[in-house]
Amino acid sequence: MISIHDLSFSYGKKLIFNGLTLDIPKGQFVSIIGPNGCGKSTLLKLIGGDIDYQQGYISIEGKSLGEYSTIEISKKLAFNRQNMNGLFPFTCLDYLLMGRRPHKKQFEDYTQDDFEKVEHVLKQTDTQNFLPKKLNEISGGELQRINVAKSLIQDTPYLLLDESFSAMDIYHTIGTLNLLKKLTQSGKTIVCVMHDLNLVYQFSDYVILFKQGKIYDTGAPNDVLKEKSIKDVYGIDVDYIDNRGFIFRGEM
Amino acid sequence: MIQNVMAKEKRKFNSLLVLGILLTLLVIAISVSLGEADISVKEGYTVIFDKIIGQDRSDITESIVWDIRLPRILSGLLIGAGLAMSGVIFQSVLRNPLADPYTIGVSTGAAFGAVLIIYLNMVYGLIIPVMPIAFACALLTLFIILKIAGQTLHSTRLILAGIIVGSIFSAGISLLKSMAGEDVSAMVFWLMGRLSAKSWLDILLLLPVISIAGIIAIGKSDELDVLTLGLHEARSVGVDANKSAKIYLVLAALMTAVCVSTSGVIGFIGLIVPHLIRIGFTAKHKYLLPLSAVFGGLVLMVSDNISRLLFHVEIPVGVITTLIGGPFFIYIYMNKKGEIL
Repeated sequence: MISIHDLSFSYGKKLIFNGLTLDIPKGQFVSIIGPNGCGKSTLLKLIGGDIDYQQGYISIEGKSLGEYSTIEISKKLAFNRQNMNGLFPFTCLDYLLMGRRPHKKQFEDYTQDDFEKVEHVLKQTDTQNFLPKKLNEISGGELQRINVAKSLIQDTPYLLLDESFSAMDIYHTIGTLNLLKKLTQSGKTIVCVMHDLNLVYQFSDYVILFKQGKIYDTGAPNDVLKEKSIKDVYGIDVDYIDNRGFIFRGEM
Repeated sequence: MIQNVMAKEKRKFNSLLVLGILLTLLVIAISVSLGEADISVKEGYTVIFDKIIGQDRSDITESIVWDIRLPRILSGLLIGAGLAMSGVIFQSVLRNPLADPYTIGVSTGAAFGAVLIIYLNMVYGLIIPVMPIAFACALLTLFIILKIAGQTLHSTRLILAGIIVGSIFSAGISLLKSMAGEDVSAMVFWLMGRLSAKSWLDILLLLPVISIAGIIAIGKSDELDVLTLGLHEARSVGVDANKSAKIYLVLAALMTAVCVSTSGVIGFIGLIVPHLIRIGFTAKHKYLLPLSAVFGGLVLMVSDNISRLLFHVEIPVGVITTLIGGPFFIYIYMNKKGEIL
């Protein structure tokens, strides 16, 4: 479980979180949703350790973030970041293997086990054909698929994804979500920031709805994704069709 | 599948490396015989061979080949290798394809340190060694630039900072040069590097520093791979990115300093060579570093031949590398198609 307690954070003078308290349950597909700028990505960055909070604490399995060493945390938590630009022209294989780095001993080469892990994930994510290609030769959506594969290769109990499907086509988005959902059954915790409420509704076990740095609601998707809540948070009308999903109406 | 891809990459690396080494030997062989004094390739090799098996000939040919040409050629090889490897490191750690010892001003900083010491030694009759001060100035420059560029590192601010700091040091060199009055010949050479008048003493300095720094860099090259992803991403896969980045920057500054303190500022070798290898082959440092070293050495040796043979007067090799490298720099800057910025 990831616990966030009385967390405060601001970018300069702009306050994002003030006394945020939240538990992210283990072994579930957790979606964090909310309008642009409500603090979703910031929360992932705080959990991922990219930025430091000013007050409160975040703990993973009872141990606060600061108590983990770099190598310990890298075996516990993988983070699929939103902006992966400025990549050097590595082959996809070399890039994917970097995901194995936490498990590798210094001055030693990757072992057969590492290769097997990589092969396994490649099959799961249908990315075998990319191996010899260079990172600058593949498209944005393909790079996102490689990135998800890299995070899975890291083989951590927790995985944070920040809009990791935004450039994928619908086929691969669904494929990836199905895979992630399947992995939660073997105990992996997926924490996912995404925008498509229909997908959130279909795949999530637990939804955290944010509005301007505050938690609006949490719980099962049926309970959180109500027409009224969506109108309240996003300011848009929506029709819910039983057990099917949402239809968003154009008028505001 | 994985093994296939890796084996193929490894084969490509091996063949490029062998090609580079063969070309290097060829260029050395030809270079020994090129120049004012007429010496054939065969003669050159006989001299070197005799010398190695301990047979002194003590004639003029021997001293030209062994004492003048060979140290010059070999220092070109080492300096080219050192500059190219430090270019690779600067580009990867700073995540900026335009970074190299010259463009981020570290070369000029080291040159300033060297000129300052030459000046002080000259005016006050001291004998302070040049190399440690050049190194200290290289580190100082690096420190200043990193301060100016701020935490993000990955930006044009870095290059801008390098250009500004480089210009200041360049002006400092010119100032010292003016203050030194007539005796400037020892200093002018720092502004545009040259490889003339190299002795075995220079090799003795270059060889250990560049080979040891190079071996350390190659030995930890998978860390350098990860550093190109940025500090956050590197930490996420278990690399202590801050510490690791610092170690690499010191290694690169050390190589730059030893190169600059023996040859002056030679621009763009550290930019062109790593780039061509990245574009043509891979960014993986296990392969990129050794290939950059070999081809960097090769390019500088060839450039040096051009600089001493093309015109009647010898021109600084830094002029040649900058004349070729400058436009190349513009080309990379304009053509970001490769998406490596």
